[in-house]
Amino acid sequence: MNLAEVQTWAATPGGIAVWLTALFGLIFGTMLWSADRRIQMGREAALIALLAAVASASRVLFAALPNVQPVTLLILMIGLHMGARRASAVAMLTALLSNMALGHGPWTFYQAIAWAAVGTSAAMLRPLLTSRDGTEVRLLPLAVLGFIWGFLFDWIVSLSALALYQSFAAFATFIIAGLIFDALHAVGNVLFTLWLAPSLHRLLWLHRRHEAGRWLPDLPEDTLVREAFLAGAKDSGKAPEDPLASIPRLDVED
Amino acid sequence: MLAVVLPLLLAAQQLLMWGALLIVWSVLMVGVRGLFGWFRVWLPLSLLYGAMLYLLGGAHDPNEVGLLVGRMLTALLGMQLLTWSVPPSEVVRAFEWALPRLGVSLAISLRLVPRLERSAKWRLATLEERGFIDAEGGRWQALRTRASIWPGWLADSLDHAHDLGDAVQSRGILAPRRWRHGIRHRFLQGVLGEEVREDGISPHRFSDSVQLGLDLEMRLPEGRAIGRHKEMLRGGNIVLLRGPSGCGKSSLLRLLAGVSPWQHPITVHGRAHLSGHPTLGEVDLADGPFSEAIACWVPQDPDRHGLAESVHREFRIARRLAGPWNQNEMLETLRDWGLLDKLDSQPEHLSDGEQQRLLLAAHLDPAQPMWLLDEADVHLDEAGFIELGKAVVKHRARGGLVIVVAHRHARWKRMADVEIEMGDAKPPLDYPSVWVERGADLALPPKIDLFTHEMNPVKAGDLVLVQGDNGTGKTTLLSEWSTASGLPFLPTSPDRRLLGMTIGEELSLQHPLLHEQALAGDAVVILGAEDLAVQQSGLRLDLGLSHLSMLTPVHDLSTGERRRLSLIPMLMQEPDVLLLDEIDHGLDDLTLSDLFELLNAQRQAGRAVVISSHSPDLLTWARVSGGRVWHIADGTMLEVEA
Repeated sequence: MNLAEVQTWAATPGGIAVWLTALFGLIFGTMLWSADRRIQMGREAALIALLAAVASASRVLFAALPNVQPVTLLILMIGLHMGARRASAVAMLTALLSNMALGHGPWTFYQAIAWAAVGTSAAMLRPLLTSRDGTEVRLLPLAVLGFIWGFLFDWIVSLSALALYQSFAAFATFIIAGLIFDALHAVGNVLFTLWLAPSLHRLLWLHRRHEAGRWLPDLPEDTLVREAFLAGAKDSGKAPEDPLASIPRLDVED
Repeated sequence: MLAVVLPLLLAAQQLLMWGALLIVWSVLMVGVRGLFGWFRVWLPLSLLYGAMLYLLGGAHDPNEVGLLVGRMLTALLGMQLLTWSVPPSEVVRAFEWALPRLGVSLAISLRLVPRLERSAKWRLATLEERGFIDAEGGRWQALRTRASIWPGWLADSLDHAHDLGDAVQSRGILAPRRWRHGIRHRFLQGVLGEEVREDGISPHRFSDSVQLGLDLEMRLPEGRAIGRHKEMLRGGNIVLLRGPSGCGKSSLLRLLAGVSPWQHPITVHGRAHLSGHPTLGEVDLADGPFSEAIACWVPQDPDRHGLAESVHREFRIARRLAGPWNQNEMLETLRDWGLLDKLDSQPEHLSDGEQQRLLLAAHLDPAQPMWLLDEADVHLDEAGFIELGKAVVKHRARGGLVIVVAHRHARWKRMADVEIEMGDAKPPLDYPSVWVERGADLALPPKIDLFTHEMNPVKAGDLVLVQGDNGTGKTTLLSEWSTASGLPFLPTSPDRRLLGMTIGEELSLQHPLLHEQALAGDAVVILGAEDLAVQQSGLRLDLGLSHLSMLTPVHDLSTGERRRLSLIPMLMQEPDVLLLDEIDHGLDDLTLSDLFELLNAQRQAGRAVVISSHSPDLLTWARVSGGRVWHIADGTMLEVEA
């Protein structure tokens, strides 16, 4: 097979399916490696694990409802609070974990990459999605973004169908037939945003508050003063003076 | 990726061979029935799409359609076969090899998924126990109530993730694996059929090198100091830390374990310095967080700190970074701790005591100079405590430093070399005893599978203490009693009975009327809600919780405070029998004494109290209060002399 034949083959549905799957697989692997390097703290690893577990459990829980599940919203919120790379890590673990229960397929890579894109978009649009001080989430822009991703996500994942059906015509039919399910996903995202986004925002905010601990090398001034006073009193061999001694007490009989 | 791409590149004959190979492999993995089940789903779908391809002109030749359908089915079967052939634990191991940090995340995820499910079930059961599910108000109201627990559920899960993250951090699991450096040696041992030992730090005598210097103060965000420590602690000592709940004992241990950031946003002022660490040498704790373990930390609540999905793997993960070991040593250790028959059990199926034994067996790392034991003996029976005592004394003899936090310190006092009192020293308290005349029969314990019994019924005013070794079925007795008789039951872990995210939410979810009032707002008066609120407020005062702000997150409270908060709805229900599991866990002497007074008042009001416990203190209290003791041993529960 010469180069021209390879080029021709690469433009056929089967060829596109092969290189697209290989490309997405490589992106998937690279993102996993990058996310792995990003994790430094035990709590970070555990938080990513928890969010992936919650997302996977909720996806399995809502599996009975066609294409309605809160994973897209969860990953939007994670991107918003924790940035694109951590959201990508959650996206990839969610795809791996939930498909352990729902079944792996070529779509696993595509789902992971589509959800990573969802998290990245939320991270990049953070100023639009939260109030100026970051304490409140703006529901309307978030719901709109969720609605858009309802369609976009499904179309990206649908690219995996090209690998399976290897025909443009079948692929187009597949996309058109799936529009009703895409709409369900989009509306589901809006409803989940209204229901879950405020408390999710609060929780993730609380998590960030927990990160606020710090270590200062010097003891507080008041502690040093108090201890110096106590040490001085001890050295002089008498108890510290009672600061109330000069005030006459009314409850003591003369 | 290969499973998907390969079928797309193969010609018809090669595809047929590849498909046949996958089918044989699948039959070996899941049997004919499993494969048939898979085909029953995917064959009709594939044929449907084949028909679509033919009709819509995607392919004109039936042979070509057949080939495309065949490719699709083969690709799908290839991916499915991966799921069938590689169990989740192997996926985790593969990740741990290539991407260690994500591997840890994946292991934790696999542990958390069933835990999340159980946590949701506990919450729904708690709602039911509190009368929410039967409350009038229709399906919409019930749905709204169920939905209201989800932030609390997620907050609890987040807290659990923090605990697991702290466990990972303190054990140095994110550090590079040591045995990679000895891979040639390990390969050679494997080829020659020799016993393969996991490499690590050799435990050795620490001599006089271990010293911990502390000159620090911890402060909460509002500036309140929760612990001033100015000590020089030397190896070869067992140090017992004592003090009331909330005085900062656990926070100090977390700090020394290198667990950072904090459970609360604490500011630490000053210095802490450890010398004699086998790999790091001198450690300034302010330089943390560390990728390696700097101490061996055994925290409270064993069910929240285990990482792996089986006893065997928990041990492997724990010892991966510890001293050299082999399978036989692991089996011997598990036998010593009475866990040999639980080797392949899932940790969540073990009792609290067994989980605590597992945590100790796996994680007491002789290579670490400093051991930090936070209420590590609470769930242990006498045999378990003796095993722990032996390990601790051995570590002291090696020159290690052991710091113990314990509220029930009677068992530790005999071993401790140094006692440090934190907070205001309190004189020893006598637990309040009261003699209550026994009244009418109230309830009979149910028959359960784990043991037999012919007990007399529990009477009004009774105090019953259920005792027995770990895993004999004390908790099972209480939980099945609760299920059979509809009596409220307070498990050891308070988180199983806390529904809200903040204290305000939790208080409103403690009774349906209070919740209805919270939803309706102050403008509407719900009949009976005010009386309940007054009763609840009185109980908060009695339990020492009235000072807490409504906006405080429930998981910012100490274990003892959470335990008392979870007791309120039970007392509000005024049941005939109170079923309490390890009620003294996390409570200091003063709080426990107040709680006993409250329980005595319940008995005087004609109720009975049934408590499971290992604590000698509770046994003493039961003796002086005219209580009954039920002892479970050898598959039988008998009433013994109190």
